[in-house]
Amino acid sequence: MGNKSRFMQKDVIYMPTIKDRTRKNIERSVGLSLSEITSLSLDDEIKFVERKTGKKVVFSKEADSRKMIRGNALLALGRIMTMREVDRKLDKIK
Amino acid sequence: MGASDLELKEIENRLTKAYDVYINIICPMIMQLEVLTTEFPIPILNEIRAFTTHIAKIYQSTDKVIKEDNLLKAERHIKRMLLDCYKYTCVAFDDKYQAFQTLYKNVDLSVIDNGDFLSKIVRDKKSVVEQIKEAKINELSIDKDEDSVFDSYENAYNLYSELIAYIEDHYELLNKAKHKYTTKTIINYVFGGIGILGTLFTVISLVLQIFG
Repeated sequence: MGNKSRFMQKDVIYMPTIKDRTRKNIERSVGLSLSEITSLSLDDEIKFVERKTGKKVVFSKEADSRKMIRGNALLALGRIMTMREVDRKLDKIK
Repeated sequence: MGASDLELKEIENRLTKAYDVYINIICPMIMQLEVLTTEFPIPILNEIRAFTTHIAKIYQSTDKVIKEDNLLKAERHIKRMLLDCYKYTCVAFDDKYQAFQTLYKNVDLSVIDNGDFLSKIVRDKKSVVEQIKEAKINELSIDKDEDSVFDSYENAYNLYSELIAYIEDHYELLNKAKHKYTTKTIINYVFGGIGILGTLFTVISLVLQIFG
């Protein structure tokens, strides 16, 4: 393939891998091994994060220009409505 | 235009590889972001939505061309997600670094590890900034391949991650330095106050002597 990128080939996209150093940094930051992380259910994952940080995991409503969102202006502006809010609004419908 | 069994097998093999990356790399990185920010990473979730839409189209269509087109798009979204995870995590680390700087502003950090701590964090932060700049240049450059873009963002992620870990490993010493600084500041205020009061008394007594 010479100097030409293998990713540049039109019909083949090679899936990325991560370095061992990256894996260790993720594990240290989360406090679980990669295999423990991948074995968690979504509910258990969120419970773990909330227990570790002592805070609820939320959708931020503040727009942050550093965090680019492609193709969705409402999301980019932080216009998020959680299901809790949907339920609350649903209750108000008379 | 119908897809043969062999083609479906090939599509499923490629999808399995994409899902491997999703489960073994993207999900742990999302969890890490949740730990760092206690927020759901909306830009990444938006990419997951796009990825899922392409997968649905693969299974919904019987047209080989549409299947292949959506497979390529789904694979691109997986790669985009990982790149976004690196970038997003660097931003989260930067927020942590700024919080550290605010918390220990005016504290003499050169007392920690005989000055090694301060010189290391200054040196490492410089490396992080240089690495992020290099990654951005690689991303914008048409000469650079995707390998080097991923590599440079992964390196930036690792450098920042290790810098934050180094700071966190020194919190005990940092708190001692801050306590020392606070005590010193209080003593300075007390002595400063005594000095001002002393000067005031001297001035008052002089005025009284002159006019009294």
